[in-house]
Amino acid sequence: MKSSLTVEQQELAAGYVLGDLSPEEHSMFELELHLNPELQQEVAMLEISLAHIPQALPLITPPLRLQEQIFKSEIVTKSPKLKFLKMTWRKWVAGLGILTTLILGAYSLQLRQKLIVAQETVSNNTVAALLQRPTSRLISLKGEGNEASGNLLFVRGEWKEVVVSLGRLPALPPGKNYRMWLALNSGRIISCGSFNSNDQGAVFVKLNPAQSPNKTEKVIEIFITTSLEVDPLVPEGSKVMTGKI
Amino acid sequence: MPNVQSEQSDSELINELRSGKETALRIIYDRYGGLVYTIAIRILSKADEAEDLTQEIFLTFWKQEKFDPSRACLKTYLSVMTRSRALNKIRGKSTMSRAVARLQQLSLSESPPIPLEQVTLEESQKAVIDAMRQLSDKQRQVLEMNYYFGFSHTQISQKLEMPLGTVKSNARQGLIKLRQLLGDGDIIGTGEES
Repeated sequence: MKSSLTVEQQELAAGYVLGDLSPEEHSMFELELHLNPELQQEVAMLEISLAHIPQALPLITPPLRLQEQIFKSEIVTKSPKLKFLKMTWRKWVAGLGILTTLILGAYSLQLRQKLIVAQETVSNNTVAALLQRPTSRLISLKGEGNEASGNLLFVRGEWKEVVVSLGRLPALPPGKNYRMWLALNSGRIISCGSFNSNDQGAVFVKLNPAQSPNKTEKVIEIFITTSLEVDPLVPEGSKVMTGKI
Repeated sequence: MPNVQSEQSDSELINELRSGKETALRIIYDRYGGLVYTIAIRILSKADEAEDLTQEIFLTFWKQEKFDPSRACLKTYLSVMTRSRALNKIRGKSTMSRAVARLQQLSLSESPPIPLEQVTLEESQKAVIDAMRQLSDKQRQVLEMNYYFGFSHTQISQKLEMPLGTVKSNARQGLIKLRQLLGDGDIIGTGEES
């Protein structure tokens, strides 16, 4: 099948896999990656091709004693996998209880993922429209004491809708969600909306802030906190992510 | 290394591994232990450290195997895991572990997988050697410095006294060519005629 990707898209995909994009290029590329399945496929193929490089090396045979060491290791000989088969009936009953809990948990997770997929469908159209606006702007967000990173896409001077694309967010405690806030130069802080991450800590949602800054106010910082699922009026707890404008 | 012959596919072995069959791990070790050890010794340069890492890779794989065969093939997964842990050891960082996570998040389900993912290690080795020979010397050198030493393109530019733009261009073009040669399958005779 012929690729419909441009030469520039292929080069950016290679740069993305090799880790040589500038922060701005990286942000824009990740956003495009969300929207373009063919580009996702290209990145996957490049990752796998890169992973094949060591197969060009002449294979070196490990010493025989290494195999012995591995298979005589307590990790293998006292494997919990084998113990599992020898469990008593009491442990099987307890295990069944745990299994039921896991199934219910997985069902709940599945529902949450469906919610996020629904949000993404909305965002795909929204992102394309936002990107076409000449005043659209992309802001990088970074984790505070965690590895989260991502972007926020909005139209300068407007805060009617923003698209948030984040990754590697820490797992949320039960009953909590993430909430985005705008810090204004007047000292006011307004809520932008709340969202959940998927089980890989990723988020791709559109938010419609209920309030906007006044004409005399400017947004100076964007930050994310965790909050209870009921709407809080002010930020609670420490900042999970921040971004400067 | 003794070669335990088995007709079982990697996916079948993974299923047996999950049910606690030690023989499955033995066959996987016989199949890929050499590849893991070769990558480890190439990056770490010391036989004792390479042995320790090979042991660590297989014991970790046995203890908490999280491999998803629908996402990538086993030899690719073990290669990425070995490279990641070896680079972490020489650089003292954990950022490379993201590569393993990223590999398992690849979306390959909607289109045909890369042909090399479907063949044996011996067949794919031959194809990769042929493909690497078709890269220019600079492309191969830059890609290998990035792969085996984890050098950034800026570091490679300094070490080779080559402009950064030239390093980036060689790395990107080299990888794109490699992906075309391996991904299209022509090099192992599985590519579609155009």
